[in-house]
Amino acid sequence: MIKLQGVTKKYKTGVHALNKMDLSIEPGEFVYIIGPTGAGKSTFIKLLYREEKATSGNVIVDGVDVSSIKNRHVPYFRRKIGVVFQNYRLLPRRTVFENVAFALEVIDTPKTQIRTRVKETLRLVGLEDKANAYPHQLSGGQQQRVAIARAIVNSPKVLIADEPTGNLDPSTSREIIEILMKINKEHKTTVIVVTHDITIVEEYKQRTITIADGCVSSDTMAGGYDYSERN
Amino acid sequence: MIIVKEISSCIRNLPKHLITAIQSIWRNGVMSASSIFAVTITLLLIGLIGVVAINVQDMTTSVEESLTIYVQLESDASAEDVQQVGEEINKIGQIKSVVYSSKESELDKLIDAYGEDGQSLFGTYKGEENPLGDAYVVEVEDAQNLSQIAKQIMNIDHVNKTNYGGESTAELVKTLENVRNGGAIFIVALGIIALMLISNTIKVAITARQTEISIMRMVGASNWYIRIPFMIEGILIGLFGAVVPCLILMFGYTAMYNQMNGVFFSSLLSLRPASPFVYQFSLILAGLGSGVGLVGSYFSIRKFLKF
Repeated sequence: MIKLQGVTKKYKTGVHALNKMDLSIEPGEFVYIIGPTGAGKSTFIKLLYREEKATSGNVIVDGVDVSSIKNRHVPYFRRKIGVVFQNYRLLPRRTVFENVAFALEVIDTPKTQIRTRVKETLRLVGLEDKANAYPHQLSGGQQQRVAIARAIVNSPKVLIADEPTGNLDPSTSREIIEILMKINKEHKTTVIVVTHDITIVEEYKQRTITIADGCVSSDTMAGGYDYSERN
Repeated sequence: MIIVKEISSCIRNLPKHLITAIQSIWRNGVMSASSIFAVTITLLLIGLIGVVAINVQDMTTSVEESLTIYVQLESDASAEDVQQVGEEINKIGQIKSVVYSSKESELDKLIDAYGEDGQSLFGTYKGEENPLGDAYVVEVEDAQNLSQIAKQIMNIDHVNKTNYGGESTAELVKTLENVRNGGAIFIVALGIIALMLISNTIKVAITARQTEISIMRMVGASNWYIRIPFMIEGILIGLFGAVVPCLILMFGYTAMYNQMNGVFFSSLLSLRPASPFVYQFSLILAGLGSGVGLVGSYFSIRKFLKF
């Protein structure tokens, strides 16, 4: 599903974010991306949804070389990818239902489809009874669930979560991770979770890729940090 | 294929985009109002200068058309002499036409010019007693050459005197041209100012909706889908700004035209009739307003939509 071959990213400011990074993620995988701040995690996911272009090397998502996508086609490419952020990014003046529906409206989904799909998705994240609430009436965990619903309502092939639990307490964080795993399992969506939350990584063991100094420093199926790397 | 899809999507979503645009204008009330006001002022000035310039243009043309030199010949010039003078005038060049007028018709014109008293004053001079000479009415091609050609004609034998509107006519022509050119420069400058103001307003509107835009981009809304509401907003600001100038033009110019009986002080300087001129010009103002709004919004959103 995702393949990076010798990917280097240098920003115009001279920052060397990624350095010949190689990585492969299969369809339907659930992957944690961890690593110290400034290691290149954000750059890595920005390359995936074509927010940034690689300086050299290939970034292949769903069989397409992302760098070669024409600007005009980028929106259509992004419809294959759902993204969730630490700060939720919900529209404050719209209800939960409208926030989720917004993602479908702007890509011209027929109205009748929007209703059923938004309802289904809200049920999946456990917010069907909050459909008419506004974001400020919800807890952080609930807001993040709305954001997840919005990211997956279009049934993307890949779901990228950038520090999804960064603003949440441990028990809410678990809820969020469980929802992400449920999406991964039930929809066969490839899920990539960038996180700093070691407790989560150790509790819900999944493939864990550590990025340090712009390349993959460890890749383990055992879950958690690879302590041998640190010595 | 994508282009066809996007165009049809744009058309289908037009009502939605229109509502978004109006909401945005309303929510950024102060900014929108100041922008509309700026367009209003700009279009008012453009309208004012435009009205003056267009009328000046008309007047210049009519003044230029009447740029003639009246050439009076000596009263004792023979028929051959008269013909000779006509030929010499034609040789000068830069001359549009030379029309001969006999001493008899000159006298008739004089009598006519004095109206009712004309016949009693000059009637007795008809026939052999006619003291006037034959005349030529010479039309020149360019007002600039008026005095020079008059001088050359003076040097021809048997020419008694030449008469033309004089320096004042040429000066008037020049002044009118300056007004026209100056006005054009001023209009361009004002247009640029309006453009900048509108694009600034749209920038603020974009900033106010930045989260929304970033989400739209994230979930894969096409650039046109994002752009069109702002373009409509720009057009609407331009159109709202054009309302007052258009009304003033329509009612103000018509009233002025009627008040002045269609002329500017002298019958030589006639004003352009109010209809259909004011309607055409209003259309131009509205088009300018919306065009400036469209261009302004397009440019300010461009940098937000880069990939």
